[in-house]
Amino acid sequence: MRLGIIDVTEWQTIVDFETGYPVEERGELVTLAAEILKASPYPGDLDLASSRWVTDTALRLWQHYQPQLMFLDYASLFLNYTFRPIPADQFRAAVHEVFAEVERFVSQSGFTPVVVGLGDLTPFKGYIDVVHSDGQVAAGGMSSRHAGLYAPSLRDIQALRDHPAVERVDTRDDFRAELGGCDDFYRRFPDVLATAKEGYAFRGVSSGARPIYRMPRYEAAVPWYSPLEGAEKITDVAGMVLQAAQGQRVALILVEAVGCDTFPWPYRTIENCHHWHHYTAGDGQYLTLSSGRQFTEHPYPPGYRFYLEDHERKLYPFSGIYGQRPTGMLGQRFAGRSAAVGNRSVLTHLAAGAQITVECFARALYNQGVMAVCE
Amino acid sequence: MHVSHIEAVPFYHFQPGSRTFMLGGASCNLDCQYCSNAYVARAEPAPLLYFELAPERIVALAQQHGCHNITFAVNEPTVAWPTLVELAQVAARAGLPLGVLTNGYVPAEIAEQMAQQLAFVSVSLKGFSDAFYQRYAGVPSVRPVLRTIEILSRRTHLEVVTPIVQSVNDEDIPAMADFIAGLDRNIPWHLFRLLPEYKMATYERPSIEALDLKLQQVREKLHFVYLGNFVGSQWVSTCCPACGALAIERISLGGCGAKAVAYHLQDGCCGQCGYKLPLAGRWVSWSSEDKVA
Repeated sequence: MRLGIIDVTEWQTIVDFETGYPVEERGELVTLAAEILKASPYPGDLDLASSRWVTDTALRLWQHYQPQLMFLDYASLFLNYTFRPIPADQFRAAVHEVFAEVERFVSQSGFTPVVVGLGDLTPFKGYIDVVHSDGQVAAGGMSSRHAGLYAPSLRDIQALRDHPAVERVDTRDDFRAELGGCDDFYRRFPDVLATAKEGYAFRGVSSGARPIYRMPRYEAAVPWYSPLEGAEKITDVAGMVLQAAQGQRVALILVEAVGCDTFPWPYRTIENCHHWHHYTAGDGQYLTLSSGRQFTEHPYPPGYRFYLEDHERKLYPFSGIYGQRPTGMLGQRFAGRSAAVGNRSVLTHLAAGAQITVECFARALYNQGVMAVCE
Repeated sequence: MHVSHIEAVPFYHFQPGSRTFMLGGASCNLDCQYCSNAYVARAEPAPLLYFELAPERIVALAQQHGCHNITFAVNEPTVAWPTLVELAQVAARAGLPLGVLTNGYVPAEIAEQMAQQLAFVSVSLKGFSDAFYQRYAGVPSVRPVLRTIEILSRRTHLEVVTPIVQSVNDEDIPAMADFIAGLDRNIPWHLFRLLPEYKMATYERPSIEALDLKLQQVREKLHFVYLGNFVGSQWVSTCCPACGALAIERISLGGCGAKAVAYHLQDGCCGQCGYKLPLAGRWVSWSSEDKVA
């Protein structure tokens, strides 16, 4: 049984991760996870010390579990600079602080690092309001660069095509013909998907309420650092990591909000696109990096009406909109011990697929505690 | 605005299982030192009021998203009371009940209007003394809140919420319970383990075990006492007050409320002993397209 261990400070519970129901199960891994959670209270998304939390927790996990493969994500730069009006001139110092934490993990653990910067941020330019559309529009999340339209009118489509902040408007068929992908992805895909120009976000029902100050930049290439060789595209990284992990301990380390302009270490680049689509930090980029398969090969598309499947029997209630486990992730494909730590909440366990994952339990920036997921 | 489980608001006894269209605005008439939503409650309202929507458009959006009711949450609804009344009337004509979360700090006349216009209301009873309201909420007295609860308890569906701040208002729990029980033992009472923010962000989180211990006596006074606002809470399900059997199962996914995952009543009655539970409205499955008003 896959288990979730939830720690809300001074109190823990164990749940069947598939159903969400409390269980009494115990075992070596659960006991270890519970101890690590107890020792690792999360400082909060808007505290830059959350990077230190990732490293501290990862080192604890490495010391006690001795995995051969690790997945780490550092999201504090993204969270702080997207949702707080921090002056840009403080950014480089913050980047160095985060990379000092990455360096601390690497030097103390001895893992061979593969450090990927997921792309720079750019100042937020404005909203594209879609609340007056005739058809239904899904623009969920805290800052949505996509809007899914369901049964749109001609007026809706024309309004988006004419909007100066909209980059493109694609029907499902056009999108599939160009980008391909699996049936599940298109079963959930909107009738029409609109993509904002860089710096803009859609706003409608289910859009986040917090003010935004920056958005991900659309980057054709993102930086990576590693002594390993062999990655030219975003889909190459997983294979390279898995191959190297056959003979050494390897850590895939994702750092959000850092691109070629701000990556502080010597780097090479990987292509960060699928046709015209630029990856930005989020589930598409995470799952692609970990699986080696493009975002269209995973079941949840942008512009998806997640609430439709949020019924009483939805599985994996602690996995956000995901009602099924992504397949083919790094941990799932690795025969040895794997572990993950990150502060991008559910994306950590979804993308890592590790035997044990520790992540922050923060929702819409509210710090609720920490959670471990054990296979 | 977003689509939510009504239990997430939280309302546990009004149309359980239903899909609610939740919306909010900005601003508040209190200044709670621990506010979790200070970014909307205490900020300049204009930049946060993203949409200007007529009541008819809000109702149309709720219907478009298959919602069974509408809830005004996030900030204090009475700061825009006249427009909320318009919305309630338009929603009622469309068969969509409207409910709100309120701090209850309103004149008696407004409380009477709330009872008349709103199908379901949750009042936040934050403390039980004038001193508490003066120090932590920025207003002179608790009495208007108690008066609002009294008025609403007689005339509409009412649930009460109390955020517990360790060593600040937890000693008031027995007195608050006596007050609520004096009105109606069936009023659902939601106690939140508050995670203080805003001006009290450094305060410690209340101990769950200590809170649960305090609530053991309260559960003898009131039939429906819930403890939540933390992920994984095991005190969010409804049990039959007569025999203790599970009536509605919920899981807490974090945030204020929970999500209903199973309903064990038959025609509103306990499947074990037949006791009629005092719910307002019947169970509505999340995916049901039925109108339930």
